[in-house]
Formats: sequence, C-alpha cells, structure tokens
Amino acid sequence: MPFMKGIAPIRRTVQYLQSGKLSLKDRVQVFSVHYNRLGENHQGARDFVFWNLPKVQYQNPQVQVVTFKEMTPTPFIRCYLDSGDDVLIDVDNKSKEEIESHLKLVICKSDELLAKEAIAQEKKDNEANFGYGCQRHCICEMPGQVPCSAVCPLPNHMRGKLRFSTD
Amino acid sequence: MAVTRRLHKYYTVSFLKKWYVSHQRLCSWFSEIAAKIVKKEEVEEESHANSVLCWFTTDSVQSYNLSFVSGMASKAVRLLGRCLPFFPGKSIPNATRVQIRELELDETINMYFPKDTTFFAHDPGQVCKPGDIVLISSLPQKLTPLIEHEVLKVVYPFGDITDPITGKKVMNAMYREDIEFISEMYGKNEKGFDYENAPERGWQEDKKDFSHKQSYRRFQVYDKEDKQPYAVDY
Repeated sequence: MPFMKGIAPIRRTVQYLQSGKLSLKDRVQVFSVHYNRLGENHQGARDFVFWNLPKVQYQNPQVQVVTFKEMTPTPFIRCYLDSGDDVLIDVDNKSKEEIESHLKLVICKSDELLAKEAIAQEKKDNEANFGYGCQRHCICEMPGQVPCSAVCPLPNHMRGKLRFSTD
Repeated sequence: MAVTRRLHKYYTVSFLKKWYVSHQRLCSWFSEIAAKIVKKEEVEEESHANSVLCWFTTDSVQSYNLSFVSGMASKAVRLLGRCLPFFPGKSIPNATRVQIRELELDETINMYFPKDTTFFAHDPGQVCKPGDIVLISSLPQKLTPLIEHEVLKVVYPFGDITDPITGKKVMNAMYREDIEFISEMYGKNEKGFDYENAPERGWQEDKKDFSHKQSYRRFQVYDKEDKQPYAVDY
C-alpha cells in the first residue's frame, strides 16, 4: 500500500473503496450526514462517516455526498431525491453496522437488482460465434452443418490430401 | 435538452480557442460549433457536432449551452449548498451565489477531498440569505449565461435551524429550550439574545445593513470620522 500514512490508511485503497455495499437508488441525488464531534449518541454516525463515506461516494459518483457537523443535537442522515422529497433517517445511538444495514434496506438498490444490472451490463458476445471461449466449440455441433470430421470422415473428393496427392 | 457541466481542469477558454483554430480546416461543421462555443453563443440541440464536442465541459460560472443528442434524458441535478454573501462585483440581481461542496477523488492516494464550486441560483423572491443551506436544482435551460440553477428551498436558514427529527428549534447543536432552561438556572441575562421576540433576519436591511446591495470593500479606516456606512467588511 503506497502512501499508507495517517489513521486507518486501509480506507485509501482501491479494493476497500470498491468493496462498498451501499449502491444508492437512482432517485437519490444528495446524501447528507449530520453529526457532532462529541457525544456518544453520535459515535455510530462518526464511525459511519470515517469508515463508510468514501465507499458510498465511490460507489455513487453522481451523488453529492456532504456532511454537516455541529448543527443538531441528534445525528441523522438526509437523502434528497429527484422528486423533491427527502428521506430522513434517524441514526441516534445507532452503531455503524446498524446504520449501514438500515440504509441498505431503505435507500439502496437490492442485491437482486444489482445482480440484474450486472447481467445487463455484461457485454454479450455474438452467440453465433464458435471457438475457444464461445458457447459452441465448433460449427459441426449445429444441426444442418457438416458433421464433425473426427466422427464422420468427409468424402474423398472433399479431402485435400486425396485430391491433390501425387500417388 | 441543454446540459451544462463543470470544466475539466485542462480545458480553458484559451485552450478551446487554440483547439478550434487547429481544427478549423478539418471539418467545417465541427469548427462552426466550436466557434459558437468560443463566442459563447447558444448551440443548437440535436446536433451531431454537439455530441462530439460535448465533452468540452465548461466552468460553472462561464458555462456554455452545450446540449446532447436527443435520446439522453437529462435529469435535473439537485445539489445542497451554502449561500454566499453578496460580494461587490460578483453578485447579480435575482440570483444568489451558492457554494456547493463535493468530494473529489485524488487518484494518487485514493482519498476524497472537498472541492467547492460556486453557482448562481435563480432566486427572484430573494428568499436566500448568506449562510443558508439551500437545495438548488439545475434548470433545463440556462436562464442567463450565468444562471443555470434555481433555488428549490431553503433547507436550514442561517441561525434558525429546525431539527427535522423533533421539529424543535436548535442553536449550535443544542435545543433552544435547553439553552433557556440552563440560562434560567444560572440566572437569565436580560441583555442576552431573546430568540422568541427577536425580529426576523434582515430587519435592518435598507436601514443600516446595506450588504445585500452592490457595495465596495471597506477601505482602510484611518480616522474615526471615516465611517463608510455602505462598505462591506469581507
């Protein structure tokens, strides 16, 4: 890990950033966290910001991730949607894990949806191709094509070695 | 739909001009669009050249009306920002300057750093005051060459924040009722600020406070008589 200086430099690795599980829904445009520097009820929110906020921003580059400190006595997360509404999530006295799991339920894409999107994004090769790495190894597998010469030899007039032999 | 984005750090107006000149002979339609961009004219929508040139994004304050080829629905981008004070020479009427703080990834150390950009948000009713946290939304079409966003709502007015969870008024991360309770226990200071009976923010505007108008930065004060009532202290 290069430049691994400071508190918890693991947060600054690409693998860490890519391991974020919170993929916010497309409706969310602003993700704001309000918390204080002091106060035990804010500890979960502080931990969430320290450990998870870079992951959230990395997973959702189009969302504005913003933090506000020392504004209200209790911590909360507020997400502003494109419809004009905002989702208010109270994280008072919650741990970082509780916050993460709650966010995943409320404003993140479900695992099924993410899997579907991943499939849709995969570049599908032309199904008609055959060969190494394709669906079919050889054209002889398709009915109607010339059968595999290993199984059924070609007739002599089609075999080059018998047509052009000088014997 | 017209969409404007922020400037890629390498592309300035001077670069665009040089780029335009170098490509002028390559393709006439290409250079036409580039010329319009350089002259800050409006570019037609649904132009093929547009889609090629759309990656020349421009600075938020000097933005050009580049539009994408139709088929791409441009969603209004909502941003949360802080209103900046009226600054002589920078503020324009019917618009507030809003500072948006976004996180920018530094690729070398994979760390996010806050980056501030300033936008002009259309605010005809002068709802915003300096320091307010406002929600702005990008306009489908630019209102003026400088104004691309509009103020949707003031989320947290400066000095008068309401805790959204409890609905109570809050000051400096304490409930106002708690502050009053503590002050009464210690002995209430009569000169202390009375939140309930205090007038709305901006009550001295046009009377003693002229900072919302075009003004000038305070010159060096050499003697007590030089009061400069219309000067601004920042």
